[in-house]
Amino acid sequence: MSTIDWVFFHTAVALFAAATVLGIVGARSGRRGPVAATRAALLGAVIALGFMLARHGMESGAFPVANRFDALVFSCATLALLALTLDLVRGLPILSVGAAPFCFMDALVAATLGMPTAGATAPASAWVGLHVVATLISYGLFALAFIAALLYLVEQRQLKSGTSTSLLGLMPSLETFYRLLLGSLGGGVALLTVGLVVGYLFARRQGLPEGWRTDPKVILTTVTWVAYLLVYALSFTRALKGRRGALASMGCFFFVMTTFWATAFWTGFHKYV
Amino acid sequence: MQLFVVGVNHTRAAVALRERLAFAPTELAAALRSLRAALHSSEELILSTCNRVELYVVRDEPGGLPESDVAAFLASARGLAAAEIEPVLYAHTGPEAVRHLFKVASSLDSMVLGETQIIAQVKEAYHAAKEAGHTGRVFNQLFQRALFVAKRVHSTTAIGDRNVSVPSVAARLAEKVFQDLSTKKVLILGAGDTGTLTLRTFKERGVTDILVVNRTLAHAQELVARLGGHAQPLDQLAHVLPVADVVIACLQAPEPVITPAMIHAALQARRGEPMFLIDIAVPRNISPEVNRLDNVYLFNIDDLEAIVNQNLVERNRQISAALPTIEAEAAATLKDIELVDIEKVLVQLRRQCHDIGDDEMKKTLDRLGLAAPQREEVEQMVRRVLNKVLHTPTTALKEEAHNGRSFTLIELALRLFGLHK
Repeated sequence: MSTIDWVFFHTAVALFAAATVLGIVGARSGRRGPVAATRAALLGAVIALGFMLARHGMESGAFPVANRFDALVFSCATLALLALTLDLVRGLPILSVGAAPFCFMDALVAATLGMPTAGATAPASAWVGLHVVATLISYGLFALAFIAALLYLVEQRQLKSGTSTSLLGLMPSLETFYRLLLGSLGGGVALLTVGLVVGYLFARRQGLPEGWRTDPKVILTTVTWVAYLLVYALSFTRALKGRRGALASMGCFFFVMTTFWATAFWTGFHKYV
Repeated sequence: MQLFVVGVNHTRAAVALRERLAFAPTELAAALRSLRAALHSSEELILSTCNRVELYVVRDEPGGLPESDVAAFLASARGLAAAEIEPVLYAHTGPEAVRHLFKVASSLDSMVLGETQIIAQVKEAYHAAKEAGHTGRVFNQLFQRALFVAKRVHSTTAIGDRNVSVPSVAARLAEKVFQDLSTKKVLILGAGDTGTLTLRTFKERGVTDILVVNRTLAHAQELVARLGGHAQPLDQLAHVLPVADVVIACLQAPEPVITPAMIHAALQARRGEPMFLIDIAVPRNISPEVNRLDNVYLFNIDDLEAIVNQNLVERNRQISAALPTIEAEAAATLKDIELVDIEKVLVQLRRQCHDIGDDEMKKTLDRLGLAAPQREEVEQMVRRVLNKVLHTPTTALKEEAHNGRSFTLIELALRLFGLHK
């Protein structure tokens, strides 16, 4: 990692850490100052990571997400950006507060793995770029759905127990969380569909080696897609409306994590450097 | 110049007296004229809300403002006995009056601490007085600053974040379940005082679809005729329950009238859409087992009162946070008001010019050795000249001070004529 990348990346990690702490303080006290500072820290981190990825792209002349480190960085930047945008557009500060610890953990994992010294392994193709971006943004949306479901369950528990805390003061309505959950699931499923279709077409056209259909990443991603599609469809019915829908969508996130880590532990052409 | 505030509020007088003392907006102009005539004041403002009636007055005459005079004014204006009013009046003068106004505008003196309606009420009272020509330099500065302080207190503290009445907490909690209450159907069980208050609160939150269910249908019909909504008898409760998103129960009944079976059936009919239930009746109207059902949220009176008390403690903490702002702003405002007292400036200006005129005239008259009638003629001429010269700046300065817009001209006059603030 070059010095400038090191500075950008570690600044982002520090800003995610600061956003996490400030978010906790803001959620507990209900004060506006720490929440505003959380937003600022998240925005700073997104900008720093954006610069870093842009530099990679310009230096390599290819799509910048070419290894696991980049994928982790891209995912947490996407999640932070989605949460910030929804926070500012819809007035949902709890999303920035909720996204900050996830982004921090994601960035910490990336820092632990470190940036690989070898070059990019992904083919330099616009189709691959679209496939990677659509898939990673869908993961970001699924992470957002996970956060919305978690917050929905926290708020539901507080309402059920008849308690009111400062965290509840910062929370929007359960209906807002549920709509956000459905929106994130719907967007995630749509983008993952795009990612899968583009990947399939690319594999067919480029004549990838035999056995790509049984690659663990391909299988797990397909399972993830089916699981989310089912949960999304059933969330509109009485069977999965409300708490059960939130729990099911949180359960589905396990597949996303598995899919993501399949690239690290299972061999296949999706294996990152 | 002296500033006074005299009035009654919810801590000193019962609502029965406050409502008789209250001034309708249409009565304000005439009342302000009567107030000026009665108290010989130069600026007047009446702040009349459901929690208070306060008279703000600026007087140029030295001495205090006897509360008996204010009581007499209120008695004659509202057709009451002065003896009934005087014991409940409070009065503040000078800096204390400024601090009091800032606390009132910031809702630190309100029955519901942190409510924002008072800001609009102070603004309306100020505009009414201004339009009627009863504000001047002092009130134009003082009330604009009071509104600024109120907004600052609300933006820098969490004083307005928490609700401190049972219906407002109920409505706030309902907003924690539903994104937009105005699109939801609210069912109020019971048409008594609590039902009325709850209906008002939800209507204020923009709810239009309200159903009042009562044992005596006539009472429910009378309530909806006054405040809006639809009425149904109690025996129709099971049929109307599925359409209700929010249910507020405040019916006098010896045992629960809403059972888990009824809510379960309602949920089936609603295809699992959530229901928010508030039971503020004692004995309870809703069986507590209802809360075990998925997508059902039940609060009882104890839950609500615990939240109200918790919010009150938090708000009282916020008062301490707001007080330094009020103190600092009150001190700054007082300094501004005292800074350029136009009457003092004009007296000083006239005295200074006439002193110069008198000195020069004396020297000239001594040299000329004129007879008494000629001396008198010259003296009058010098005074006339000085008065004519001073007329234009005096008018301009008075106008500037009355408008209260800018003190540039006054500051310039102070510097040009070497006067003191």
